[in-house]
Amino acid sequence: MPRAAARSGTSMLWLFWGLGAILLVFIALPLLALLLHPTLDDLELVAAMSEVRDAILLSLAAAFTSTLIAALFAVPLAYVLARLQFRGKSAVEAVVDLPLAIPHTVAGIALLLVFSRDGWLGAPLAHIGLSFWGNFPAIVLAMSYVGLPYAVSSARGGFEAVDVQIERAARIQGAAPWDVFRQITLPLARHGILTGLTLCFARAIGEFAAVVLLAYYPMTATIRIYDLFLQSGLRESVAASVLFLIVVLALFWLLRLLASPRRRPATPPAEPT
Amino acid sequence: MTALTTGIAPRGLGTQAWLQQAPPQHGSAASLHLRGLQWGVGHWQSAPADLDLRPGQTLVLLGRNGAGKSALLDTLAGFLPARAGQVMLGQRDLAALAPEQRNIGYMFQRNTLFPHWTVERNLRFGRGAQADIDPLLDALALHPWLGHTPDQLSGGQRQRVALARALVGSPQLLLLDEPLSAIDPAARPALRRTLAALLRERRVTTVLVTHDARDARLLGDKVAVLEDGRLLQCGTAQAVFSRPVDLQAAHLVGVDNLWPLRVLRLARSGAHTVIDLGHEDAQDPVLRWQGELAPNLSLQPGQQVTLAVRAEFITPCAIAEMQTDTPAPPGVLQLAATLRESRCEGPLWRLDCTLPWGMQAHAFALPDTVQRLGLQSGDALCLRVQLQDMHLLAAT
Repeated sequence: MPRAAARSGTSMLWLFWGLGAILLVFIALPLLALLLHPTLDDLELVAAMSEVRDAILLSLAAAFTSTLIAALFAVPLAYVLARLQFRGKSAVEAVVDLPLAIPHTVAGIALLLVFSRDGWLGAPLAHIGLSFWGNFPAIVLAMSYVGLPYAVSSARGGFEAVDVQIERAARIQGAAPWDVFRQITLPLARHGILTGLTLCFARAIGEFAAVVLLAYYPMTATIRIYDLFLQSGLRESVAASVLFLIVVLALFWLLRLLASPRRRPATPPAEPT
Repeated sequence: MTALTTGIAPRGLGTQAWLQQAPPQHGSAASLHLRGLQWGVGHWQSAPADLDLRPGQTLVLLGRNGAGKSALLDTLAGFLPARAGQVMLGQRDLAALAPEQRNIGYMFQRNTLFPHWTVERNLRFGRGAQADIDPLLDALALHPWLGHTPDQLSGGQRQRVALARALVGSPQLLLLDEPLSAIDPAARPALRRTLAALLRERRVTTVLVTHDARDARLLGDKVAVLEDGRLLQCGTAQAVFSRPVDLQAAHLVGVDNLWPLRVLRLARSGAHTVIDLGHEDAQDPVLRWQGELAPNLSLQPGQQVTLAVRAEFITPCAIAEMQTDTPAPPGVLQLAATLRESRCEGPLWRLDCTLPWGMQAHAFALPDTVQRLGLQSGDALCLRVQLQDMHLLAAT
């Protein structure tokens, strides 16, 4: 490459780095301000409040449950979308992406129409004793609604990256479709699936608008923080936020470790002579 | 299309031994029969094909990209449904069987080793779980790599593992899709020889797809020429290569000399025909061909034909041998030519010559011959061909 071109390429990369750095600061600065704001005493205070601890545990449990639901329903759909071409596929894709596009308050209202006691599904479900209003299932429902699209799209990317011919090779070696999926496809798409589930979990645990419409009580962490802000002011709500943030960040760090591909030595050994 | 069968005994066995052999067991090589099989992808569909392979025979499917070769393999493997007709593997009709029930080994064109597993686990999957893999490891020199994952292997090593995986557990049929195309050209001859030896030793019924005529010649008991879903020709490698059925087939099997000529005069006596061939509108014949015409060819004076002869059947000799009054030996045709260019191609020299009527002729010569004749570009020389090695094809 000529030197001038190399230099202009470098200056372009420096420019991109500069713009990226602004973005990084934009993301990190508010979080830093948040983390540095409360004193240790404040943190101890909110950590001692059982309603804050319960809210964080509830958020974790509900987000975890909705992630399990995503694994059960989103991963199969992701596989179908990755492997099959069919009429109306783009309509299916649009439906999957809908929750990303609509405001979450609107999503909450819509869920309410279907799952409230006299809703489309809520009424028949109430007959068999299932209720989706003001309880744990309602929270999971709202969280799943906003989190599932992330799980589908990322898992789909994971499946698309697995060569169909590798699956065929497994079939012709004598493995039934289930075994191929379990032993070949799933492990190879693992990275995309785990990334999707992580995103789903993140979206779920942070959800406020959809959850608050279906279940103000029992309070999830986001609602509890909002409630503290309204009842007690900034000091306690900031401390509760930081506590919640620390728990969530620690969890994501763990999940990222799980999702990252294992590193192997990449040097091919020499051919024996 | 009618079934084209050849009476070749499986390699390594005399006809008698073959006849006495017990019917094939599950897991040993089986015969393959296609009856009116039509296969297709999307809107594309093949013509009906009939084919018969005896246990242990290797069929090489030769054709251009897009001729439907890989689609046929996918249909045999069960990844594409047959559009019509029947596939019998031994006594089994494959139509109702899922790929995993067919007991077929398939080596794909792309690398399809399971990337997250070691070589050993790749081989131990499915059919290979209980199989004795040692002989395969020996034959393909894979012992040192058992603990490696595919990304730690070279292209040639990966192909050997893929071949071992396709052969593991003694499948009744082996499908090979361009087995040599994914590796670098330097490693190709070695793998081609290994493959030939393995197919011979293990006597596994094989369908191999390639667009490389060299693979077809070395590996095929039978060669089928496929063009746009039609089987143009199917027969012994020898027959297909030296007697392609038409011009398309001749191109595909790599016939070097295809001379478009015109029938001037034609005399038949029984099966034997003598034909004087001319060039374009000239009334003087440029050469006289005689022999048995192919059954699919009926010629009239004035008709265009193509004279096909492989370069390796043309022998260059000194022009002086032609100018003496002694006639050419019986059954030999002599052509005067001018050498345009000669170049070394592996162990042989390839001579590009111009015939008196302007057409190009390609011939091969041993280095010794080139040296003895002292050939330079522009020199006159004599080209000798056995009449039996020249074949007339319909012009289109």
